[in-house]
Amino acid sequence: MTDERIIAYLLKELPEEELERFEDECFARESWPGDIDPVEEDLIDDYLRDELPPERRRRFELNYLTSPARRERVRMAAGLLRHVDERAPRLAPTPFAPADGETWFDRLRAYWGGLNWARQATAALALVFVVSGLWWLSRPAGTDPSHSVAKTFDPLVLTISYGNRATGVRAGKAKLPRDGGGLKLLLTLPQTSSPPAAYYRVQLETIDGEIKLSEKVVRENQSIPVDIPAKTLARGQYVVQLFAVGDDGSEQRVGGAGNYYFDIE
Amino acid sequence: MTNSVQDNSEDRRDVSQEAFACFLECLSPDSEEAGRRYMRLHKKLVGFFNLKGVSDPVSAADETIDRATLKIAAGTPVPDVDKYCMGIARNIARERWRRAQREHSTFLDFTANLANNSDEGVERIYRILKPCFDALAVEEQKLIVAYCQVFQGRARADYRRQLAESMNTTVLALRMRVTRIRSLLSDCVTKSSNEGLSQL
Repeated sequence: MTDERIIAYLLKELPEEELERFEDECFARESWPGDIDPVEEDLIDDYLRDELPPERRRRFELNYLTSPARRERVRMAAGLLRHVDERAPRLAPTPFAPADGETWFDRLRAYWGGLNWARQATAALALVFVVSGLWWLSRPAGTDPSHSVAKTFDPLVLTISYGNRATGVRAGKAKLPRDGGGLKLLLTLPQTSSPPAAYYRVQLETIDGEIKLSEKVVRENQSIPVDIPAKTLARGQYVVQLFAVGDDGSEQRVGGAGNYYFDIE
Repeated sequence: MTNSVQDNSEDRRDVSQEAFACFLECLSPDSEEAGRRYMRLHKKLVGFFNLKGVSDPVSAADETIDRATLKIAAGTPVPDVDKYCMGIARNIARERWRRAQREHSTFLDFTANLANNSDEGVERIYRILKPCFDALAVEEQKLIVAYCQVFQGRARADYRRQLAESMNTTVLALRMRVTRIRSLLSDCVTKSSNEGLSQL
């Protein structure tokens, strides 16, 4: 029983007789197969994270979400993913118990050595991000003539999210800037490798898909600063997409299907 | 994967002791073996109703066995009890699905609310889930967070393999463990919801 067959069953991608055969096979086993639930959970998570291909997404809504019990499962998963997204930065590091007499460097080295490559990369990028963030915040105002809009505002730091608002992605929040001001965003590049870019293009959309801004931006360390004039913004929910633009002008979405979200209150 | 508990006791039929004994006898002439087979059959029926997305799969499994018991007691020849119960279970799943369609015409609202992040059910579960999540062992919390982090396709498979290796276990065992923890959380949410309702 493969994952793909279980998904095909749940989405009713199989002919009717195959669906029944699948059920019969499950029932004929000594005990009910335990590998169905994990696959169903992944399928629901993928739906909530917007990671299903369009056709499967349509079939999920049409053929899977057909009972209150299943809809409750989706709600449960949405609630859980929200908690996961909120807790990810807090819970990510693996704990370690330093021995007496160890210096902070010993502990750091032991901690570092105990991490797998993914955690090491995460920790390294987090360090780069914190240092670059501190550098950014400590820069004297007016040092960069290209940033003429939001010098008096703290930047709104956003990280990429792969879900949608249904999964409770962390949307940054900011007050509506007053006339003459603006909003400065700091888009943190995802930890996965970004496509090569001569420069980047940022696109700001409202929740209704109306494009409010599309302009060339440049990378600074691990972030992309974006200045948004106040006149562009109203109260509401916004989505930001980032594209890496190659030397030949070709564009590639940064972070795959990921978006940056923020709300203006 | 658990479901919210609903009272479907109206679906239960009066089954006498004699009729039930007859059903067990059909499973096996040996009473201990009959008991084991009954438990196994019941569990499989729960799994089936879960798969079909039936609310309260336990009561649906009970109803299946009740109906089979009454048929057997009435003299219907049943050479294979498991297959016979499977047929009844399919009927019950269809009946409950049709009933659910009549009672819940809010499907379009659901997907729309989900897309707008305004589904009250998600908000409710999110609130209830926090103490449930906090009540997990720290290692379990870490595992859920690590396991559910977003990684797409091949990268996700690789990530989970590495996660399993770092925990000296297999991907399959890791998956089952995560499913068990998610099931615990789901049970906790259901329990808290029911307690909240009973206090109203």
